[in-house]
Amino acid sequence: MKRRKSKDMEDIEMDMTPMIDVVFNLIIFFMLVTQMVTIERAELELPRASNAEEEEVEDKNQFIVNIHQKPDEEGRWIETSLGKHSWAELSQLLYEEAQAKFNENENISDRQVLIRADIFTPYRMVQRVMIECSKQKIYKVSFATKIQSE
Amino acid sequence: MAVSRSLEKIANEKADMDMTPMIDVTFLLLIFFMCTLHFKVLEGILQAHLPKDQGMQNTSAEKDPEEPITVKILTSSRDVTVVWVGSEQFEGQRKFTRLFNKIRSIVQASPNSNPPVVIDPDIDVPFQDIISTLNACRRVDETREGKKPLQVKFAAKALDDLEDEN
Repeated sequence: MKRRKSKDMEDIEMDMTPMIDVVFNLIIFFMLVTQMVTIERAELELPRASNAEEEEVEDKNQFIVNIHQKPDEEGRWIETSLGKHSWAELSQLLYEEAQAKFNENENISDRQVLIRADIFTPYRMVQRVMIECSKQKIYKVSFATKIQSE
Repeated sequence: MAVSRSLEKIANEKADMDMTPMIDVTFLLLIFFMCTLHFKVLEGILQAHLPKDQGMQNTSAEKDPEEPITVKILTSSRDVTVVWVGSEQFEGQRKFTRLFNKIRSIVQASPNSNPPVVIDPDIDVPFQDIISTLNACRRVDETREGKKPLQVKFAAKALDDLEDEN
C-alpha cells in the first residue's frame, strides 16, 4: 500500500514548459504595449468637445506636440516623443518633420501636427506652436480632445 | 571504484531544474506589467487647418468672398471667459450653446451661407474655451449637411511680443 502511494505522488509532476512559454509571451507583449502608449502622449487633461471626430487608430503621418498646463523648472512647455523641448528645439524639430514629407510642387509640407494641450494651457502657447508650424509650412494642424459620452 | 560509479550515476540522472523561483519571478513581472498598463484611450480630433497666406506677415493674399464672422474670446478681470460676436456678448454657463445659435443664424442669413469664421482669442484664454468655440462651429456644420464645412481660421496677431518671451 505504501509503495503505491509514493507512485501516485510521482505522477503529479507537471510539464511546466508550455506555461512558461505563454507567460513569457505575455510579459513581452505587455512590455511593448506599455512603452508604445506612454511615449507619444503626455498625461494631460484634454478639453472636451462633443462634435469632435473620432481619431483613426494609427496615423503614421502625424507628429504629436504636447503642451503642458505650466512650464517645468526650466521653462519648457512642450513635450514630444523625444522628451521636453524649449521653443528653439521645437522649431528645429518641426523643421525636420516638415522636410521629411515636403511637397515641392505646392511648397507645403504634407506632415500633420496634432496639438495636445491641457484645458488650462493659455492660448498664447498654442498660438506659438501653430505659428511655428506655419513657419515650417505645415498647415494641417488638429487638436486632440476628450471624447464626451453624452 | 565507488567514487566513479557514483559520478556515473549523477551523470545519467536527468538534469532537473527547480522551476519554482523562475515562475514566481515571471508571474510577478506579468502582474506588474498588467497593473501598469494604460489602455490607449481613443481621443477626438478637431481639424484646424492653418491659413496658408498668413504667417509672419499680416497681409492676406486673397480676399475672403464673404464677410467673416469674427469670434473674439476674452478673459475678464474675474478670470471669466467672455465671447464676443460683433457687438453681442456671450457669458455664463451656456455661452457656447448661444454662440452656436448665433453663428448658425448668421450663416443661414448670409448669401452663399459659407462665411469663414475667424477665431480671435486673447493670449490668456484657457485652451478649453478655444476648443468649445471650434466645437460650436463643427456643430453648425452638422446642422447643414451636404454643404462645405465652415472655414475656421485663427486670427494672425502681432507676434513680436510672443517672440521675445521664452
